[in-house]
Amino acid sequence: MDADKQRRIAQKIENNIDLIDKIISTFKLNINPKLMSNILREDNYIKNFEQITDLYRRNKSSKELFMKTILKNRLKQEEATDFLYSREEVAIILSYDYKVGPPREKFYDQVALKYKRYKNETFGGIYVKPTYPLGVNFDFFITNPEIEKYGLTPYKSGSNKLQSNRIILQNSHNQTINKLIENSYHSNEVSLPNPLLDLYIIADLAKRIVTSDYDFPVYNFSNFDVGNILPSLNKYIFSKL
Amino acid sequence: MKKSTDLSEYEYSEKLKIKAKLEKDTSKKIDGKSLKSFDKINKYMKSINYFFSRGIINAHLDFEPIAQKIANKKSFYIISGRNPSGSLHLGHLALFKLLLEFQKLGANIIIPFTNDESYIDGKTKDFETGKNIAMQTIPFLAALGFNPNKTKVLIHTDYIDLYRIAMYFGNFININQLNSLFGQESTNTPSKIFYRGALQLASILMLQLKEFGGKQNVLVPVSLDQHPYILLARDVAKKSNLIPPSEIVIPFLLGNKNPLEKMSSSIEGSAIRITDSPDKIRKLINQSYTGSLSTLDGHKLYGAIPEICPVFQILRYLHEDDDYISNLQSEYREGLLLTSELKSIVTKFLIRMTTDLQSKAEEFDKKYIEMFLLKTLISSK
Repeated sequence: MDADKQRRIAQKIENNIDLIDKIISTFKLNINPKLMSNILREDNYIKNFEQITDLYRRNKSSKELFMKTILKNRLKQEEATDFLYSREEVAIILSYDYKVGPPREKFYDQVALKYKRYKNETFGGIYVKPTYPLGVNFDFFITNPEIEKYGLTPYKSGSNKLQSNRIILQNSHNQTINKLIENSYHSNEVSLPNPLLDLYIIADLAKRIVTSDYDFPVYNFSNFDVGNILPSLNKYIFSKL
Repeated sequence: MKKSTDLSEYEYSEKLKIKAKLEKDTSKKIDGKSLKSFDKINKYMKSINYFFSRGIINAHLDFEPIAQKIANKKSFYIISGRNPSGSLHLGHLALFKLLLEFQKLGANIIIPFTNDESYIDGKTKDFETGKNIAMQTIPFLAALGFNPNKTKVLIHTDYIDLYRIAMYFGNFININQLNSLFGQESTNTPSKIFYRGALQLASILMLQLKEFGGKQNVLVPVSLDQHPYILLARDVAKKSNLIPPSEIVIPFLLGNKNPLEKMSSSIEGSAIRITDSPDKIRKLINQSYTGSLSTLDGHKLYGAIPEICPVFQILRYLHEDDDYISNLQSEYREGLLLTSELKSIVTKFLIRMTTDLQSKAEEFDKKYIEMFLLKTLISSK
């Protein structure tokens, strides 16, 4: 990698860290972020990684579980690295009591749980609803059943190369966001992807934190004000970051 | 009283068996013929029209590209043939209404009248009879609101270019394929072989010739018994570098006297024709099989089974108001809506609709009717 590219990546990382710090302080979140590069150097992690790699090599079912966490189009790539990402993921999990993630990560958790039980420990997984791309109509979900099933990874803006169908903080302009909202599929059917409802809830949760409204929120999936999404995002999220 | 309750219980269980048989027949055929359930697509498209919201389409093959066309407001072709061996009945009308809904979504419609098929299968005495039935049908297409610029009718024996194209496409398959798909009885004369092995698939695949815009997605709505034609057309499309046609499967409208039979002109009392008089409609509905029990007490106790009720299914296929149909269905299922009330509703609905269609159909002049005839000359191949 040339020095210029390395400098650009370092700058981007720094900007992202600044943004995360700002989100945490603005919304008074009780979160202690850690850089993966630092975690990888922790003694506890290194020990867990070695043990989980050993378990993976000895136990065929671990590989089968890892395979279930991977989208079909990524399977070859993961197999080429002998599921390094999955082993790293489980090694991190082993240091904690709970993990929050998308539903398909339950398979990582099952490997972790196996190991925790062996050590007479336990572990809990909390699975959040998948998020879905904005700016696409129903045909996208019909022709992309994997995205319909698993959604996009919430914290990866480039998940499935759909970065132009997501709102990237400090990057997406109002005009673009408006267009994405206008062109998004909106359904009254609770079992179908509803990216606008996700966005509405994100904006509403931000509003509740900013206005210290801690009543338990109840959302109507079929009847919410789409026109209010962008003004709320602007007022309670974008303008504060 | 106990005796009557026992009888009702027996009658209800017999009707449930009919429902189970109807569902099993359909799902078994879908599982065994590489078709996919339409349930998921129905969920996405349910707000578009009542055929989706009521789940009337029950299976598909490659509908995804058509969904893309609809979502992006792009035009596409639908081809849906009719065997002109008898007068138009409500089953045909339901299919035409489906086509009309697709036309609103951007479809160009081609309706081949297979008067050659009617003749070779012994359903008409000559080609002319089928042609006359076809010509009598066109005013009803106009009355239903089909756009003549986007709806074209072809009468097989008058569209000679088709036979040349058929000769070309028929060369991609062999007699063993035909026999295994249709059985020997359906291919026991040279005419039947040519029709099933060449003409049918040619009328589907010709829409990808340059005269119709070249290679493109074509949707074919069929009933399950026509699935072999689509399999054959898809096979030949692949072999001749065309796009395999997409398929949706629509269950038949139930026969008036027997829910396990399709509505058919050739079964006495089974079909209600669009040209039937109000008195005839009243009589046919009164004599119809229903999804409810024969005693009032039984009906109120057990409720009805709308899925096997030809009278209710007429409304489900033809009435456009979703909320109205949904309420009627619930009331009928719960036994709150009596059979006599349902029959009265359906009779009035049908008399109003057929009278309206009949009078509208008479209004169109010859010039307007001729606009529906396909006149595209094919020079390809």
